[in-house]
Amino acid sequence: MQVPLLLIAALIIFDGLFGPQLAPKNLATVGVWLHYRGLVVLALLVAGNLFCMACPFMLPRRVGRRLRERLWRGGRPVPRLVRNKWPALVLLVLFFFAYERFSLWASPWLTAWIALAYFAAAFAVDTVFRGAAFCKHICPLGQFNFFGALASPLEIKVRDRAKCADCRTKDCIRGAQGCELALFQPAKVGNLDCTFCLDCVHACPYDNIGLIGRLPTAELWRDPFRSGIGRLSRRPDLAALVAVLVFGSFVNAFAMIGPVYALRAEIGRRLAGPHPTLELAFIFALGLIILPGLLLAAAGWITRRRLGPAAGPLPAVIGRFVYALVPLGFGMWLAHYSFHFLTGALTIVPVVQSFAADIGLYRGNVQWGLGPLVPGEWLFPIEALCLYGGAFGSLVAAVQIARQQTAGSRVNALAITGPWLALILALLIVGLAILVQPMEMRGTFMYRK
Amino acid sequence: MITGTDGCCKPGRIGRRLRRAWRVGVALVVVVVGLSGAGCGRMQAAATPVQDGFVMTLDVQPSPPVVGDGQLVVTFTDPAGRPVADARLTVEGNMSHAGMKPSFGTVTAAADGRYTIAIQWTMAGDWYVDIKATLADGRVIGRRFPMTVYAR
Repeated sequence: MQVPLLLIAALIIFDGLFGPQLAPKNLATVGVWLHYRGLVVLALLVAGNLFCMACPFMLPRRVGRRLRERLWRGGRPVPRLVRNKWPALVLLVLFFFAYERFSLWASPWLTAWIALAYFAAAFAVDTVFRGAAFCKHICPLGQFNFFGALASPLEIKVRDRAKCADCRTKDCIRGAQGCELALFQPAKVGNLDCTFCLDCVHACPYDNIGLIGRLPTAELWRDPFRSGIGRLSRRPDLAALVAVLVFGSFVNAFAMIGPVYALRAEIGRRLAGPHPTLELAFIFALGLIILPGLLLAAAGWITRRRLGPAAGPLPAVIGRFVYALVPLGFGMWLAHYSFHFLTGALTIVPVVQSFAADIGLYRGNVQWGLGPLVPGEWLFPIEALCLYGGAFGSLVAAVQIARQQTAGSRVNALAITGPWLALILALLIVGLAILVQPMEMRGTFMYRK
Repeated sequence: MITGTDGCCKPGRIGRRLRRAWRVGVALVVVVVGLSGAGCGRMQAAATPVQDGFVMTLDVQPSPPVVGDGQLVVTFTDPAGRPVADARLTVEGNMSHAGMKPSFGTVTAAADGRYTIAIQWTMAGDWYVDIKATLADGRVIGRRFPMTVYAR
């Protein structure tokens, strides 16, 4: 699966660098911002992390790994300071910012360079560091996939734990094909950090590991020790990543509708003139740090008060309950990316025809009239369904997490769930308010005079 | 021939893998080199300032344009400043982002170098309107106009 995607990536880079610099007519922009993103969220919804499984960046990583093993005696371990999700989180925020600031969605050339930079980074990082450093600590796309896979119906896991108890070789973690991301199957819980590479499936001599169905989001309800990860409530980096991806889904969609331009204009007026970087920095700081921080701290504080001293410190309470927001955040990403995909999925046909015509492989008419996959009036109901589904999953997760937290105590689970239910409903309303507005893809010309 | 063992595999397995990797690598190189050669037709030179002397101006109605039916009025003059009345115009609007099909304009009236064109703005946002005028002598004069369309 990786070789076909590598070929597609090569075409995308080629067309992005040398093809027509008009986003709707270039394979790079159509392929990346429309189809890749749309198909990623759909794959996560109906199956799992299939795009990490087919990731074209695995091939330069593999070359880097070979070099590292031969020339660098296995390479260096990732420095302890960055053996977490903070580097990926910083890159993710920078990417979200750059996406808006430089209108990446409108630039085939920049899109191609991002893909090239990705290949270079995957190769460089894994040539130096061992332990799938790029996938686990660097790759922003991978972190998005790990986040979305929390809501997926498939998981790679052990079929029969008793067989693992008798296993002496532990090939799934030690062997030549042992998990690079240090996920030991008998102690692995859920989809976090799992790239669906199937190495463990091939490594297990007992055929005891497989791609198995499960109840989506149920892994969020409990907080057991997870191989390669630890306990979720003791990972502030993971909690911050989840918070940014949840609130980022709303900020990203908000950036596509009319009010954002009014807000930017107002910020610009107060700054005595247009200042795109500061305007966006303010919106991002507000939407990704200040508001999430305040809302999560308030909900966590109320929950902690109701739970009593056994609740532990505030960050641990937030670090436990923030995962209840994952289904809603994923629902918002799904709604947003599905909108783009359903609106323009068929535009790939004329773009490919045009590409083929330009290189002498197609002589027919280019069908520029193709575009939407569904009638326009279906879009809002589909988006709303994604959001309602996410909100429902979040409500269930919040109640289940509260039940786990209050097990064995007299505290009513519903009482501690209250602030989280309120937060989920508030975000649902905000999401609907964003989706109900007409999308306006502006910004390309704003500051390019 | 390259053969080897990694302690868990049968002898020769690494050799086979290397050969397979080599074949895939060669195929990739062939595809990329082939595309580079064949793709010359796709390659776009950097935009150069237009120096043909023709002047094309564009009025949009309503102004600013809003989603729905719109009208463009193109005024087209030759290097001497005379109206070009007999050009054949094709008008194509594309959004600045991927995923929206183009809107093609229809010339509804033409007189004295002024061409009225009906076009549909399908979504609010940034658009590029490309106008190509084919002159009676076969020359093609093209201009691109960026504009922002607003929601109703």
